[in-house]
Amino acid sequence: MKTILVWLARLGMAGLFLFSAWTKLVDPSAFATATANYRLAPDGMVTLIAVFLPWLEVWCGVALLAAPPFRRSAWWVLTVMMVVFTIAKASALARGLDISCGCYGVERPMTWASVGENLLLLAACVFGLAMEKR
Amino acid sequence: MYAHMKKAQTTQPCSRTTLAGAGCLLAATLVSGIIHHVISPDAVRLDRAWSEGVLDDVRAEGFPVITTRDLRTRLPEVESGTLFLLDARSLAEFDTGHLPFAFPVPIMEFEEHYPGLAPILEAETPIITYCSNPACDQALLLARRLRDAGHTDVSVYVEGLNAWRKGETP
Repeated sequence: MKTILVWLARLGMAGLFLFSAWTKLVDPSAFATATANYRLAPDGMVTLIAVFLPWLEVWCGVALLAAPPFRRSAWWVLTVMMVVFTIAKASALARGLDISCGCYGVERPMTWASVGENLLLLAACVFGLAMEKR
Repeated sequence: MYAHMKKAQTTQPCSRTTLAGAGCLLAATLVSGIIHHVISPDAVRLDRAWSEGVLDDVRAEGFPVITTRDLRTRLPEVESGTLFLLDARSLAEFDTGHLPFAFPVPIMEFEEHYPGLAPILEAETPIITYCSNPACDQALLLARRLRDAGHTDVSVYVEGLNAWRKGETP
């Protein structure tokens, strides 16, 4: 049962992050704009995030489905990413910013529900990290 | 001895193997990002600030760019109601400060706010949109929506409210 749950977490998160990366890679400008709209990173950093973050998501997605040592590394990186994303969303809401969340290529307003989604994904990452064999 | 070492390794939250794996992921990310950046014509350019991209988009789409000086010169038109300033940021941000005589039209709530202004905005009425700074794109998005709604004289104040406020400081 535990093995099935771990595989479900791996497949789910790998699929989600590969899809998320794809939406960013097909429209890099839209992703850079969405990042800039959060007003958390300076201009130069926005460019770096736009260029490299989608590829980090790709490699984490691939690593979750790869050999065990890489899976654990991927869970660590994804957990850190989810913490950062969740803080960024909560911060945007707290500052009253009227922006799109910039997630999964869909234009939708930022709400506390999207912060809740992130917390669920973060819980999945922590679960995967805890269950993955060292 | 070996069992003891293995136990110590497994109780560490982040082992050397995990760190090495994370290093590999970061290296692969770096290489892929650079290759994609080099070969893709749509990639975000690393050799310039992102805000220049917003300005380029505004120009590429044919919207006139209004400078702080232009806006200062045209302020009497705004005051007389022959030129409209539309703030594309959220209502919460608008409430903390905005350009003189500006109307709020938050881009994410365009459908709710635009109908209220539509009766006083004719197709040829000059309109200037703005947001906070050159890196935000809400002013450009609002300009697009207005053009789609049939407005023919839409300009964008790309420098935004922050530049206006700096200009006000003696």
